[in-house]
Amino acid sequence: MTGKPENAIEAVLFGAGESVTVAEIAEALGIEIAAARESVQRLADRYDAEERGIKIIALGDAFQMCTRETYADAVRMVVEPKKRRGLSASALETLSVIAYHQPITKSRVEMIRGVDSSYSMTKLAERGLIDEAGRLDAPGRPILYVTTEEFLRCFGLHSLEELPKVDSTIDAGKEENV
Amino acid sequence: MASLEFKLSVFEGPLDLLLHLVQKHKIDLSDIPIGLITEQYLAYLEKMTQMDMEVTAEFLAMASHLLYIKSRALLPIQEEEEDPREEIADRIRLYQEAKEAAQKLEERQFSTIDNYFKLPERLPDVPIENDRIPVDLLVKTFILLEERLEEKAPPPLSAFREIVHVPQVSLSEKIQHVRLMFQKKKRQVLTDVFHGITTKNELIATFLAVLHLVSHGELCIEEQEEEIILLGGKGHDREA
Repeated sequence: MTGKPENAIEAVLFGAGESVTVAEIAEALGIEIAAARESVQRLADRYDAEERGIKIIALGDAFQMCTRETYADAVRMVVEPKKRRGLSASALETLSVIAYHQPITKSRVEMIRGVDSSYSMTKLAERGLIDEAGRLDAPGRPILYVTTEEFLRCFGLHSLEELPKVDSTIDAGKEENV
Repeated sequence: MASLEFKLSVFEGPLDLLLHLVQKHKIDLSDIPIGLITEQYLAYLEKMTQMDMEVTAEFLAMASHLLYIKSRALLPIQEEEEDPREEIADRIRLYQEAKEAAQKLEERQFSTIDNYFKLPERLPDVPIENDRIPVDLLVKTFILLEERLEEKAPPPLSAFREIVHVPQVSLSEKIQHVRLMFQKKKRQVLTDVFHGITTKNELIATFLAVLHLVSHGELCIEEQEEEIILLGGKGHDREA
């Protein structure tokens, strides 16, 4: 591979459009994962320092380009503005339970909330904020739910570790994945 | 007796209501005054009924659960038995965390509203069925058709006209012709489509017509025992 690694990464991220994992970047460039991660970070920092129109954000172990919010007004002149669709209190509550206890089954979500959560969970799935992730090894083999990359993206989180801290006085008891 | 509130807060569910009561009466969850909480809870349900608000099954189930815990609490606790109030205390704490988390997430829900992302590049859908046909089978079939044509009787007088006048065969006409054939009969063997063709021009035109319809998704190709089958109809419904 010719050219500077950072420039190659720039091309890869642009070409892909969607998020690209560090592993994929490393493979594309033929370098080690740690080196790839460093290069992406350097590129992202450079964009930030120069206040470039594009910024690179981390989403879990993947990276994605997006427009910098500074230039949002200009972008909106040519692109459809994003609709400000807020989530209902119910949906936010359901989403929180899933986010903080994932992977989790629907019935446990309902146990924690104390109410039926079918509608909320359907809506969250439609918005791409939650997804199925295997089944629990228990009678009925219920489906386990987790939050998605879209969730990280919408809530400005770089990883699940960045979920706002909540006073945890009891062990929530995470359910095991199958 | 507390005075009637004219505006009743809407609670997400029974746990939300219990949490409200716990906070309002500054209740210590490690030592819940179950009598008081149950009384307050039931009073609330009563108000909801009076205000014509729907008291859902979840609220009623919690009411009976609270009464059950209350009755258990009246009995002396046996040795291995857990304090029946602990379960409800745990549930209220868990719910409180969820509610706090929801509030924190709510503040962040438009974090990237001013950032625009590109969607992944998607290639247009190609009908998968066509991928499985080996190209050489197609070529073999064409050659077979050509040979069949040559096996026919020696060229009639009309063939000699080609030296002077080459009959034009319209491709679009052939396309329409093949299309109609498949409207009449959805599933046909490729070689059958060429039944009754006498000249090479027609053969080529018809073959091109078939290829055109396949590439536009109007016909599907399948392989069945070394024969090529064509299926018409956009829905691609097959006879099993």
